[in-house]
Amino acid sequence: MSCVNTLISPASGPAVSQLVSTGVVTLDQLLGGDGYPDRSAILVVGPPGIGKEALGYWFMRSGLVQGDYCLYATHRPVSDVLRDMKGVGIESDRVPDWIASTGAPVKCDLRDPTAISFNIKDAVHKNRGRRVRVATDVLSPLLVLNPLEPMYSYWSQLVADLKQQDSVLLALAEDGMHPPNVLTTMEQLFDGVVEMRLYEEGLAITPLFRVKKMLGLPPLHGYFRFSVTNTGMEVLPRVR
Amino acid sequence: MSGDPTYIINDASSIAQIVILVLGVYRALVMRRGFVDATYRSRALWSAFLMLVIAVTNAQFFFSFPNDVLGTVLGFAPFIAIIIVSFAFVDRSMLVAVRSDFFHRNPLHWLQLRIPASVVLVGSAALIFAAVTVSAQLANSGPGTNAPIWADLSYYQFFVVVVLILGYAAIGLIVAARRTPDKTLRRSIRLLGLALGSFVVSIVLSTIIPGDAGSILGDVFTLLATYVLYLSAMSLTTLGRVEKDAQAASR
Repeated sequence: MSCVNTLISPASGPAVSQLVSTGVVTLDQLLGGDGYPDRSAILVVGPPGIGKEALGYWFMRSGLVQGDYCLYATHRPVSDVLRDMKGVGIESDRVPDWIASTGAPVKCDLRDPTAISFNIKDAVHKNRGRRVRVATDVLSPLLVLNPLEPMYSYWSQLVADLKQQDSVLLALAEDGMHPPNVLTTMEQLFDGVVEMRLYEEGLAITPLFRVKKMLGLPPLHGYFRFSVTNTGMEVLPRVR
Repeated sequence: MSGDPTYIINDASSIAQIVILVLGVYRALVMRRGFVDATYRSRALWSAFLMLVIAVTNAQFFFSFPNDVLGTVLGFAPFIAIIIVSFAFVDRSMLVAVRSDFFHRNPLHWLQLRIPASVVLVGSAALIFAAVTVSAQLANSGPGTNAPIWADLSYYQFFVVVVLILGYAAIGLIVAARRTPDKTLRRSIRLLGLALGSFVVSIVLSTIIPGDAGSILGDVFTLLATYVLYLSAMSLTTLGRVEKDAQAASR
């Protein structure tokens, strides 16, 4: 299956958007074809440890296999991320470019949001003409460390700049760290929002996946089961 | 089981604790399956272990062990297990707190001290185990034989080691909890501290207050600690509720 495919609208016939593989076959299918819309920004929301990063790693992996330019901007050390990648079955034979707290040529300093934005845009602009994938976990730290209003403008500007190019931005957000209004505000900026969470039903606790919105798709009601193992990730319809 | 009200309260308290703890073990293990990150999975697993060990300790009150060396050692083992597993759970919680801190700060140099501390704790536990075994052997060999002095001293060293290490870890947890921006994790760590504190209070009260009053007060605090520990395990992660409208629309 090609990484980039064309979504054909049955009504109009012509191509309306290109799709970029998520790196997870079952999620690509769920998103109506082959993944995230091109020139889009996707927000992944969920509590710590649930597998948001794994979604980012598979997105990166898929891009590296397809020859896309991939950039991972993280507030963690590169060594930690590589260890996590190995934990979900991704070998470090091909790795993205890094902006990280340590172990990367470009440092990620959470106290300097302007530098983070500049470095991301600089790396992306240097790869003009290629498809670009950016995954980042700095959204939550920046939202906690800075007031909402300037952060709204900051992310609005960053998303708009990246979408000038053939790129997809995947941002990971920790929902337990922000008041609901902060996340709701940020969700407005993104073309797609997916939520990963453990859901409680009686005594049972189930990891479920929800697509709250996605550019080019009608609302996807309902929940989907997901599982992450060291051989990959799978998203399946929820059976009740 | 006796008709004495104190015994009935003791037994009822133990049964209630076992039920709460077994439920907590189940939920912690189910939550563990939902985690992808190894650090969070490990924390959920040790949380389940701790509740299991406390449940087993409570359950052993319903069985009478033989008054020989094996019986004495078996009766003492759950107490040691609670201390070791508590340390492991506290350690995992600390690692999770460090990980969720954006600047990955090292609370009270815990990352350097955790391995030496665990070695000292396990060594100290092995020593007291040896002391209990030797004392039980001597007691069974006939009257007039006293335990060697090192066995007596090993009891004191164990309590000093436990208080120092768990006390240091508890302070480290408070520091780490203050640095984590995740409110669910903060709540979980705070509840863990409260649960451990309640266990200590229950041990102190049941030891220093003589008679039924001490026993009943001890039970109250143990029950409180058990329930708070259960709440702490429930706060291992944020739990969502499936929205009925989205569920209906999906059909």
